[in-house]
Amino acid sequence: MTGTHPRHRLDPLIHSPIRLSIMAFLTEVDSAEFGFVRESVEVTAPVLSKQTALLEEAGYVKVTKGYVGKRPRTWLSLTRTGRTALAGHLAALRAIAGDT
Amino acid sequence: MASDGTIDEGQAREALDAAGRASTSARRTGRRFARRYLLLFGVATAAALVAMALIQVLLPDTAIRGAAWGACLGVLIVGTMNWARRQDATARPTGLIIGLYLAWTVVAGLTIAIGETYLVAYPIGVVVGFGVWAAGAWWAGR
Repeated sequence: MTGTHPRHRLDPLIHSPIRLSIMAFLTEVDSAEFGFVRESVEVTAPVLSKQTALLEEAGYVKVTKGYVGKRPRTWLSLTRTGRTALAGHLAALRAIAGDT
Repeated sequence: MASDGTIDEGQAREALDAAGRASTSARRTGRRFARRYLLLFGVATAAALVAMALIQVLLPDTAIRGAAWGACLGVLIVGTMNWARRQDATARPTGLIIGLYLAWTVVAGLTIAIGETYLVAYPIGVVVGFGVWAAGAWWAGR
C-alpha cells in the first residue's frame, strides 16, 4: 500500500537498527574493513556477516574480498543504490520526526 | 518499525540519532584517513623530487632520467595504494586530491625546469611541494 504519509517511504530493509548503523557508517567512507565495521557498529562477526549479506543481496552494499600480505580481509562499501536508499530512508525519518 | 508498519516521532528521532552516531564515528575515521593519506602523498612526492635531483646529478642521459622518473612515480603510486589497503577504512577526498596534484605538478614542473640550471631549486621545490599537500591535509582534517 502506498500513501502520502512519510512512513510509506521508509525502507523496511534499512529500518533494522543494525542495518541502519552499518549503512550510516559506510556512507562516510569509501570502504571499510569488516572487523573495523564490526567494532564500530558493536556487533558480533556472525551478526554483521548475516546483515551484510542481506544488504548485499539488495544491492546496497558491496563486499570485496582480498588479501593484505597473507591475511584474508573483507572490505565493505556502500553502492550508489545503497546511498540513494539510505538518503530516502533518512529523509522519511526526518519527516516523521518533524525535522523538515 | 512496528509490526503494523507504523512508527512514531520518538522512534524516528531515535533511529536518526543512531544513524548520526554511526556516521559521526565514520566521518572522524574518514578525516583521519584523508589527513594521513595526503601527508603520505606529501612525503612521497617530496622524496620523488629529491630522487629527481639525484637523478639529474648522477644520470646525465635524458632518456635514462625519464625512465628513472617514471620508476619513482610507479613506486609512489604502488606504495600509496599498498598503504591504503592496510587501513581500516578509506575515504579519499578525490576532488581535493586532483586539485592538490595539479598544484603540485606546477611546483614540480617549475622545480625541474629551474633545477636544470640552478640545483638549489630542488630543496625549495621539495618544501613548497610538501607544503601543498600539508595544506590539503590540514583542510581535509578540519
